[in-house]
Amino acid sequence: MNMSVYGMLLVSSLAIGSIYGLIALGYALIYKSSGLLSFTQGDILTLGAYLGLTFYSILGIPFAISLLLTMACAFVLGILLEKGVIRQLLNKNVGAIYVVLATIAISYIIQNGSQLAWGTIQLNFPSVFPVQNVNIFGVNVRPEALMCFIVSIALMIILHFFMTKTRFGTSMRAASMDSMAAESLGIDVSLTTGVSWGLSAGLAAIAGMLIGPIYGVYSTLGSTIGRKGFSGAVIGGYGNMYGAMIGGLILGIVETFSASLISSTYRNLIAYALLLIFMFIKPTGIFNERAIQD
Amino acid sequence: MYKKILALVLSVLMVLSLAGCSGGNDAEETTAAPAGETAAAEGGEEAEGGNAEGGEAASGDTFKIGAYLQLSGGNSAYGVEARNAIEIAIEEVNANGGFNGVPVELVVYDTQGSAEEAVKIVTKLIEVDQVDAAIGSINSSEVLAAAGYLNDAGVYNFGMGTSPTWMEEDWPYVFRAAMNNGNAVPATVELVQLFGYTSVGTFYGQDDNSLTTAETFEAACEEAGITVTASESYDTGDSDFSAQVASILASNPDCVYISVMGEAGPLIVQQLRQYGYSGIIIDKESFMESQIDIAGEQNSNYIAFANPYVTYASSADCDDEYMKSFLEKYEAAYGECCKTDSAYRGWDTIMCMWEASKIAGANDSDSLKDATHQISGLQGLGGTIDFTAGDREAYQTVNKFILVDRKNIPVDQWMEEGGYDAYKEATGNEK
Repeated sequence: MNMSVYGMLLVSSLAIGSIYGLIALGYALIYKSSGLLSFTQGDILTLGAYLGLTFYSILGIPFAISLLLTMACAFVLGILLEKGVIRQLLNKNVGAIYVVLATIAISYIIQNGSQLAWGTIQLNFPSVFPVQNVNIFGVNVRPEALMCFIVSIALMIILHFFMTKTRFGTSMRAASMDSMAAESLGIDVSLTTGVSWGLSAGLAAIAGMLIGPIYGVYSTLGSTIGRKGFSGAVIGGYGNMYGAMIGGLILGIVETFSASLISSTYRNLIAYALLLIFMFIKPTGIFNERAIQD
Repeated sequence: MYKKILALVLSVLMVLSLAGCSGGNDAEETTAAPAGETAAAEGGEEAEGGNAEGGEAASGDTFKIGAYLQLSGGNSAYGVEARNAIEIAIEEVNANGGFNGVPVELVVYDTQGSAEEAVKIVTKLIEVDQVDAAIGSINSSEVLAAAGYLNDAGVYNFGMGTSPTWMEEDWPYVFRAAMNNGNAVPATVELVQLFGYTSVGTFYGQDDNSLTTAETFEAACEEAGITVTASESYDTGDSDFSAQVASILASNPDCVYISVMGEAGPLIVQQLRQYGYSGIIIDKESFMESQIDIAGEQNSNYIAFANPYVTYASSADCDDEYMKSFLEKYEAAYGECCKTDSAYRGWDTIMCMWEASKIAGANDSDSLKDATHQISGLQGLGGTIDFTAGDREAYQTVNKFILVDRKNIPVDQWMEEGGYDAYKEATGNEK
């Protein structure tokens, strides 16, 4: 295998890894804000891909604006889910497992709803760029793959500044650390939690729209990616935003290179074995987040 | 107050959606014969009784066909198109006197893509609906799980999956009016040889059909002296195939063979092209219109395959009179052309059953089963249907095509017209 093939593998692994990272970021935000586990991320990714396809391809809206519209729709959906379902269940003092089950039910509703709205035939998401490949240092790279990586990293940086430099971000962090103390200081914890769920959904939807042009759009697009994103979150340190992105990237690189250099048959085995290894040996993940150990 | 209303609305929506999702098996779709045709049929010949082994005789007012198809979930478009074609075919049958004067009625259940559901449905078809015949899913795994129960109950039935596996079972009541991917393998190997290739890299799915066909292909290649340079696979649900593509291309094969299912096909083709592979791709079956839409027209060039038939963008693109007539009927009924060949399988299945009823002069399962073995020279959408070989398969031959500029051209014609030289010139490949 020559160097250009390794280069292409690296770009592909970074592209898929950054998508895992975005999904993992959503898991981290939800966990940090509400201490809950949500299984809707993968299916919101699918919904995002369908919404993006509708805005960009069917309605002819420019890609960047379509991306913002898709994120806005998912953001509203995320808030509605938190306020309309999750919060209502929590108010009834149900166990956390019921909330997790509710998110599984919601994920199926989103999946089946997408099938109802857009059908079950795989749809083509047209290319965003006029060229199919660009050559960078002798490596043939699909511009959409590069876009995945760059946009994901940009989102990570934006989110970092939002959480650390803005008043609302600081409120969100305070609410996640001690909700009672935050409330006593006048922070609207309900609002910060809702926004966290909204942001998580928005990130998943953006991930869907980014990979749509690479993988096409179909109703189970997010199923496997959602699970891998969860693994990425655990590897990085469940609940840690930076760990989420790093964990996603590591998972993308390990599974892509192991499939190519060891065996493609055991690609998923290797990916999930990595998850188990971390859970047993370092449950706090790379960034030493104590969520799972707690 | 507002929060409570919102919670109530969302809860109701969720419950309704869940009911909709889980109600697939209970939601029964029935296509009954038009009243006029039923009246006409009443004057027709009464169906004869069958013996105990052949199940209940078709002695009712209608000949009831039960179908278990995937109508929801990923890849359900294939099942939906098959059901559409079955409905058109039944209309045609009923307009022409039904099965020996008895109008045909269709009962359809949704398997949701699950072999377990298929088994439950088949049990219901046998015990509750007491169908006279049955049609099995496009998904071979469902047919493999369920057709045995129909066979044991002595119910005349056809499967529509293309895997070799389930037809290897000793099930005398089970037939197929679609291609057998395994039977197409020798023709596929001939394609490799025709292009002068001596090595091939294979890429296959882990599902039963893709895996079995790929294994048969690799064994046939070995026998023909063709080297398999790399053998890569993927799991259902995977969307990134870059690692496998890189490994295959690194092994430097003359061509790439893909044995894959549904939505993976166009993604693999797309990623092969993206990684710079411009050579001929050999597919285990036709590369359909729906797949070209995803992979892109340019990327879909030079995909060769052996299959009885191909798909068309519209009936206007089709030159074959019988196929054109079917496509026009489909377009008239559903407003657009079918994008997958599963519609062809549905139509051919009903036509085979109809032909068997004509030969048998009776509608009981045993008579239909025996008569099916006598079908010969019947016009099918993929050519001549012939069951006389005794293997319960309709199509004994396949045609070789190559996809160029969104047109499926017979390979012999393409070679004669200089297509291969044009391909070499366009791609810069030596072969």
